[in-house]
Amino acid sequence: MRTAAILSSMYAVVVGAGEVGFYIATILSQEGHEVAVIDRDRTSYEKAAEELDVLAIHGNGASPRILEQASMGRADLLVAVTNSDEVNMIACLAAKQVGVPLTAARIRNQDYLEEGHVLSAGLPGVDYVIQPEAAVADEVIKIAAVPGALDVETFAGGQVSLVEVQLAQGSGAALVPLRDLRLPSGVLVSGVMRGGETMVPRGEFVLQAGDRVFLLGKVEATTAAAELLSGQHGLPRKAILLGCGEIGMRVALGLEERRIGLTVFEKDPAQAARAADVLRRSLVIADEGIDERILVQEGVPTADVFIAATGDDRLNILTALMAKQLGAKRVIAIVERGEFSRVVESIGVDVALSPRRMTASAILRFVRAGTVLNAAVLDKSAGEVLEFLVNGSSPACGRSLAEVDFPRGAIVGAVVRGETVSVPDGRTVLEEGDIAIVFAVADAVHKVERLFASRWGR
Amino acid sequence: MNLRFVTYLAAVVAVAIGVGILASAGVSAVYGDPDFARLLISAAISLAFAAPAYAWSRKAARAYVGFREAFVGVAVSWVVATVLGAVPYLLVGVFGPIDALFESISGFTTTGASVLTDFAQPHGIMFWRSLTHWYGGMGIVVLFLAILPAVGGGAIRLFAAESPGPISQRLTPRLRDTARRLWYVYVGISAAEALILMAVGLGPFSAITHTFGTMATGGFSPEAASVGALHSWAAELVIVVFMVVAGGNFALYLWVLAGKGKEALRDAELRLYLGLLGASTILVALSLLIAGSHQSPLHAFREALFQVVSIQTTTGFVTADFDTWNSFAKTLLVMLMFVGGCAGSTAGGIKVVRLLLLWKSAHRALAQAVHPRAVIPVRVSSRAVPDNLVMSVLAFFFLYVSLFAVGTLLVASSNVGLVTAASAVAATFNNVGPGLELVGATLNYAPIAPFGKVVLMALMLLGRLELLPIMLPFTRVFWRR
Repeated sequence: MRTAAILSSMYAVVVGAGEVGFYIATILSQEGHEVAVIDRDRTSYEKAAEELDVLAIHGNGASPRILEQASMGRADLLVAVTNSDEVNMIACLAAKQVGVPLTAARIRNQDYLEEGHVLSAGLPGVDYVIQPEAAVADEVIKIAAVPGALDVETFAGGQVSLVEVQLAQGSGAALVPLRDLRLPSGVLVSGVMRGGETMVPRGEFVLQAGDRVFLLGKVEATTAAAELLSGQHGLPRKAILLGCGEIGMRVALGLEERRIGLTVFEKDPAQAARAADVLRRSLVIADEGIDERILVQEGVPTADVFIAATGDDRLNILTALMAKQLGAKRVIAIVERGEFSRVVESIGVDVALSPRRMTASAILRFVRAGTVLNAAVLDKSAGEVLEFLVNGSSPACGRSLAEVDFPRGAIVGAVVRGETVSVPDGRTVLEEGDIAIVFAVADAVHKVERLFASRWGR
Repeated sequence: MNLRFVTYLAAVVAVAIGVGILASAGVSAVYGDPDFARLLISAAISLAFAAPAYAWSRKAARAYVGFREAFVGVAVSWVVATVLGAVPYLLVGVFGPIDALFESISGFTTTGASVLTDFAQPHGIMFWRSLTHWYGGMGIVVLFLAILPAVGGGAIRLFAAESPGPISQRLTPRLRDTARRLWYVYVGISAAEALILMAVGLGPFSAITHTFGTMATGGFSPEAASVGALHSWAAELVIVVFMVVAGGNFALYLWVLAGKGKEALRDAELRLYLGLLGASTILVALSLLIAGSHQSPLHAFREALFQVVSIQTTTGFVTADFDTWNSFAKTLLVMLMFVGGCAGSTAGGIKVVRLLLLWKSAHRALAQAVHPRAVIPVRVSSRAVPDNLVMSVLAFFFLYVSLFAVGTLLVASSNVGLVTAASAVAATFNNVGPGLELVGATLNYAPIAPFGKVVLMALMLLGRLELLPIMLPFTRVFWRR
């Protein structure tokens, strides 16, 4: 029963108030939902009770007494994100038993999910399983495969993509207003972030070097436009990966599949041997990858992408900075603690990805599925990209876009009708059954949702 | 500190004050009184203050509320409410500046200590006088939380900074829902009282103003002789019942509505509160009979009941001049002023639950003198209270007693006699209203010197906001980064 539409207010119970749970609870309560947070740890519980507008409960999220206290019976959603996979599963099971329609859990241990395992057909009681390592690896692969991309999100079943790039120094695109800019057809500059503020640019807007540009449109067209604006031409050919653990191995396999040349550093000889066995086309080097000489020797200065994915945040940040200094075009660091990602990106690391933040946004995406088919919250709360199935009775339907009263901070970036993807203009009329992908800055999100909401009921 | 957010809070409070004065002007229009135009101007002044403040600060509406913003925000809101609330008295010409501020602050803090000597005033201004009680009862910041879209994070701090009692209960996941429900209950019970009072024969104006005074545990009455002037058995009884209700924890009423009435009745604070009311009534009634001031037991009981309930709930309505009673009864009444009502009520005083905690922690200290290594949790309603909360209640009690002593000293400096000074401080600090001797039940605060009035005004605010929001901004540690 996926009726948890974003417009209506729902009641969500979050078990575990660590970084992931706290972040999810923050976003949900800011969106006006009722939220209860349960944690066994006194400090985490107190932090949630003081900082958030939520009902904070101190105790075990799987115990009947605590469930009663949280009035679990009327909950629409349970999110279990404690440190323990087992507690998360039991919390989901217990919630299902009292009739919670929707449950999501973070499961780290592969053993529970591997094929052939007794639980592989889907964990009992858990509607949605999120594996942080898999999620962050997928994200790294998506970003690495698009030239110059800092963020990549896909919509409408992979037909439409949003790519964030930084406008290169000396780019010709900084000289002319957007309306005179020659971009591949089927792509739109839907948003620009400059000095921490995001806006939807008009035709007379002129880009500056260093702007972060959000390109929305057909997948091939956005890739081509990303190449043009970022100045990084051609698909990435050479990638360097540091660390071949859980995340690293997934990334390596994904890059091999896309035929990107890969060099892997792994300091543990046994792990390196295992990696060399699995990775057929890549070069595996049994070294920590901190020595500058070795990095230069193995081609970091000419690498298209450098990915630091060891289990150590500090090492990832520092080696990524080092690689950037040596000349790697794009550097990506895996930083477990989401709080760091903003500052890490400000000191020169192009992309900092946090498994915890990825977990939180994956769960939020799942939660919001309703009138909104899909929603991606962009980094640093720059804005959101929302995917709507156009409803016949919504205000946005049946009129040309120029007549629909769109807020200033929002734009329809792509329309999918059947198999065709098009970039709309003011004359485009949305029809029932179309999929509209909308870019909106944070303030405009609610207005946009109202435009696409059905007039009857919620 | 986020000054914009503090300004935003003050702007919204100013709008609420403006709307309240406008309503009073409406009442004035109904009765065709001459104060109509001046009330309109007063309302316009509030709104004119609010408009630029709102324009400058509205971007901070969803700001994060830290401890500083919460305490300073609440303190500033109450000062703004007091000043704007005094404007009608000044414009209508009832009082001079100091007296206008005194009456206004006494209204909002639900004290009911009055400087009004001439009760032949137009309806509009008298309505406003009672309405200030009703606003202050449930809290103007709680009203703000109920009406406006959610503030950023930390809203619970704002709520806690204004709500009486050591623990602020969150009854729903969203604080806004909690604030709303509290106001619904408040409005609902008020409406019930007003209707019942009309049913027992009061006119609408009298019924509504007395309801405001009761539900806020305020005590302003449009009659010079307070509730005694109504000469109605039934009205007195109705007011007694609703004073008891107003002095109880409103969170319990929400439990009752949720069908958990039995659990509400097991609440240790509620039981002690009702027990104290009952025992004190019997003791006072007996003392009146023994002292010979009252001949009929029924008469003694009737007067004792009303006075005890009115004083302990810190309302301050009177039906008898208790200043003429025997010393035992007077002393007991002054002690009850300090007890006050329950946490989460509209009453003032130290609050029953704090005394319960103090008693239990004293008991623990005694037990540990005999068993030094004993682990003895302090329990309330069979739940262990964290030690840091017990410590903060001990500190609160110390500060409370100290402020009472200092306040008495300051008021006594204008040479009014110890009983007058001490009872005036007890009656204002605990938000009761009438004291003894010069400020007794049939008299009022007009004769107190301006300096003394200023001291009492500060005490009323300190008492209503339970010290912290007013005291903390004056400490160095509050501003240290």
